[in-house]
Amino acid sequence: MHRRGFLAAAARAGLAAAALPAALRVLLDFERALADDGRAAPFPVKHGEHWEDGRVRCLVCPMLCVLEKGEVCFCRTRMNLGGRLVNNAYGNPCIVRTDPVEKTPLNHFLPGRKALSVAIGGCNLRCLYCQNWREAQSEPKDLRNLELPPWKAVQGAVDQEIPLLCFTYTEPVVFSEYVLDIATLGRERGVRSVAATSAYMEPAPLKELCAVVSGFAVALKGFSDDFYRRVCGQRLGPVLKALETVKASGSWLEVTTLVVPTLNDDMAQVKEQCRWHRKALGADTPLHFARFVPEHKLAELPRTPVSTLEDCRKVALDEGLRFVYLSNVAPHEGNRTLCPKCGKVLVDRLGFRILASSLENGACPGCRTRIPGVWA
Amino acid sequence: MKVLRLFALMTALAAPAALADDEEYLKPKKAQEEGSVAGVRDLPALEKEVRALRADINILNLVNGLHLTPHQVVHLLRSAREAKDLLEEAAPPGPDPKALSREARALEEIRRAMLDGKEAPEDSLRDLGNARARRRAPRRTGAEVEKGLAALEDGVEAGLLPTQKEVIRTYKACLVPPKDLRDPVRVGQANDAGPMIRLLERIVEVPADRWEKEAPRIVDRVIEEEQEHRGRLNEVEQAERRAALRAGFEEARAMEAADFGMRKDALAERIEAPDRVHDIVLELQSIAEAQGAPGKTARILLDPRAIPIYQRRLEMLRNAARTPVDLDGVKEADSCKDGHCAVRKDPQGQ
Repeated sequence: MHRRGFLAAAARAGLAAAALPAALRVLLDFERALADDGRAAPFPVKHGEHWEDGRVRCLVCPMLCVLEKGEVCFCRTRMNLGGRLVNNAYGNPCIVRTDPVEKTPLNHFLPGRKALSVAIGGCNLRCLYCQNWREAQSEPKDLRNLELPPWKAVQGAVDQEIPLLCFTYTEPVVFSEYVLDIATLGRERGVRSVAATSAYMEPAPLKELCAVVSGFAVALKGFSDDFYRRVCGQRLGPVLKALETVKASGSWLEVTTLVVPTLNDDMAQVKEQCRWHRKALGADTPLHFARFVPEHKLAELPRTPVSTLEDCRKVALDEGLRFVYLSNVAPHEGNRTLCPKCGKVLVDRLGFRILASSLENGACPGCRTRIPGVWA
Repeated sequence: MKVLRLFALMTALAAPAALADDEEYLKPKKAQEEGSVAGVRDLPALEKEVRALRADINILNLVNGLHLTPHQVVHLLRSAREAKDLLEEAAPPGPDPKALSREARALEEIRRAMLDGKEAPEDSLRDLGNARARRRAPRRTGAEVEKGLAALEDGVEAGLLPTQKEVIRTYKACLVPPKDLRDPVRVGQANDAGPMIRLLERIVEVPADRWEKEAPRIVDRVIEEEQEHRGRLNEVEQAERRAALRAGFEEARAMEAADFGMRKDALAERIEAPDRVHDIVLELQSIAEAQGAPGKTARILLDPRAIPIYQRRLEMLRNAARTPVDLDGVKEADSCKDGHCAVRKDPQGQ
């Protein structure tokens, strides 16, 4: 099929398909084949405005991009296709693999279980230190993709008895329609979904995701608008709002901050972040401080000294946060889950491997304190 | 098992003989300084130097993988120094001018008596015996040293996390550390696939006609590589391994791309070769330790060679903390500044 014809037909098919609930689409065996060049059939974007002059406005992320016909969004996935807002990231993941859920990172969500991870190229941030920049900073059309409709992803997890589907590595916000469909189908088949995201997303589409995604690992990149602008190309405010939205939804939430030497390791700012965290998200929401390793456009910077991460952890614990972890450095005592009441080691981790767990139905076996999380 | 214990002790004892001070190991070597063709001129010295460098790198690999806290490094440094003292007391003392001159005097008296056709004087023989005994006798027995090292090891291990002890337990002596020790897989890191997954990914890419021709050679090559690192296989075992690998590879190739993506991790885990050598080493190690021999912690972390490494590490830990980083070369991230955020225009989409 000619490429233009393929895109138009696919857009029409997508519009029809989008009107169907995910489960029904599966019954109709609606598959979205990739074009010869690996491009997915564009999927209609629900959260958008279509203007009379042919322009469209995307309402998925706080950038609220206005696009002329043919223009591809900052996120590299959504575009104005002949006056319709569509997403080129649907059913065409560039990464599919199984991982321990701890890699998300989620330490209080089915510890030790495997997750089937899926990622499609693109991102609406431009983090200078992006470790998966080859995928995240590319358009899907420029990557080598697999053909994986939602039903097949869910079936793959069911067949292998993998209890979780995970949207990670790139930015699930840019393929949220796909996430929504997989998570909905997965839920019907008893497979839960989790997402690792920067949460640069508008409240309405985010709430939709929260209804079907059971756990979120949100990257709060730093705690100043200046850092977000200079290092990530975005703003802090919408992320804080999104974190509150996720928390209010009842989905499980853990927050991760990658600590980059000099750029966001000011302890006064870390303290401010922890205070906000406690007030807005609660002391029981786990916080991970992750070690920076030179990558992408910050390849010349050194790794974060472990002592800096330890200082961050101490600040967070002093501010009353009860579950503060260190990531990307192992072995370390900051990898363990401790009972906040009696101090007993409940889960001992070596990297993403659980060496020992003494949790009993989500409670400390010593003092019976209930540990917040999703344990079964 | 006695052999293993003896070997462990001998390895530990081998190092301190040349110890003069803590920093000796890190000094530039003479052969290098002179720029001579050292291998030809002084082969034993060069071999010794290579052995020493390998030992240092081995210790460094483990120390790097443990992420020791400054407090732990201080404890290790103190313990390693105590271990060094212990080992030196177990080694025969070096040349002692007084003892040597007593020995020379006794020998001279014996020689003179013999030249004169007389019996060697008993006093001289006794003096000779005493002088030689004093020169050769270690101040501590091997058993005492073992006991002392074991106590030091217990002290060190009491200050380590269970996860650090697990790293030591599973550590294999190496010059190039495995990835998880060198650079632990990070949260959210995509490109961290293990060697077997990477191999499978390459194998599914081989065109059918080439695979048909090359498969047996590829399988044999993999087995050869595995044997190099994980122990030799006999013919029967090789045949079994060949069949298992070939079946796994064919299974991967028969999968659709998406299925392969979803199943490659499980498949790789299933066909991964067991590390027989490492398993045997671990078993022997646990038997030896149960019998009181110094464990891996003592053998590697209490090796006197580790002393300058700990000193340097402490220095680094103190200096690394909060050193401001030069950000001159860091450019601002791309962003949408003027409200028009499109990355490109696709002519096909108009």
